[in-house]
Amino acid sequence: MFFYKKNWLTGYVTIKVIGPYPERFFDLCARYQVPSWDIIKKSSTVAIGKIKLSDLSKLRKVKKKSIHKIYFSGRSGLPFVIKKLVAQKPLLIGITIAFIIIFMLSNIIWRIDVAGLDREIKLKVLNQVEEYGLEKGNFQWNVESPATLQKKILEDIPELLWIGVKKNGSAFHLKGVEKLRLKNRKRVNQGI
Amino acid sequence: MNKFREKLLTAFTRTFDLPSEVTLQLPRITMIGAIHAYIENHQGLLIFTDSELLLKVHQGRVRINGDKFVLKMMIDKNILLEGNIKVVRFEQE
Repeated sequence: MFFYKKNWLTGYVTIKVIGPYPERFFDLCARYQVPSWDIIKKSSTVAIGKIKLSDLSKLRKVKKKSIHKIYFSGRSGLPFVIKKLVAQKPLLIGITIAFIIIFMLSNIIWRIDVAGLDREIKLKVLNQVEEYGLEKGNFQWNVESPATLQKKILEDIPELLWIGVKKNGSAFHLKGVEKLRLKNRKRVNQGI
Repeated sequence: MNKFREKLLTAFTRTFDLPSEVTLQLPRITMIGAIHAYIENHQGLLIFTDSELLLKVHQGRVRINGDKFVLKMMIDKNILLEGNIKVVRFEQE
């Protein structure tokens, strides 16, 4: 069975041989190292068989040695399927558009979660983060890596003790810890 | 001379236990029930119709009769025949 599968991948043609004793043409083919298969005799002068696409040049040589007439009655296999697909322009355009849409949509930021912070600071963080380009609907390639974002946020919002930025598919998860004593306006160790 | 050679080869095959289809150029026919016949080492196809297959082999012919014959494969000296096989007959020249 592997024989047939392999031939489908490389492509094959169906030939119709007309002449007296058409089966002898296939015998001649076999002698010239041209394998053939699925040979059916339709009538006393007509036979149908299949040969590989790559053997067509050899077939021409065999044809010169015989008195039979050969007609191509069908072509099948992967090369012809590809040819047909390529000829269908709308299908190709549709496939490329679909790929582009999938690519674009999967590279958009769809959600930003902030956890562990007060509402006030949460809004501040979100506003700050928006300035870096991290907002809903923006492309992911416009945003810097989570590690640099983390550093930047910590630098720009002194109320935060620590913030973790994690990218998870198309969503960003921010998890922060506040400096609780900052509410007392004792700005000790502001740099840290 | 030819007869002598034949005898010598047969003896040679027998003493060294060689596969006879190789040294004697005999055909090897493998059948699966009555639906498939795989003929190796034939020397040419003479007649093929949907009810008959006539092959030339060393010193004679092989005639296969039946119906719905299809040659599933023809590679070099091997033939795979498919169909309802009824008779396999050897004909001496």
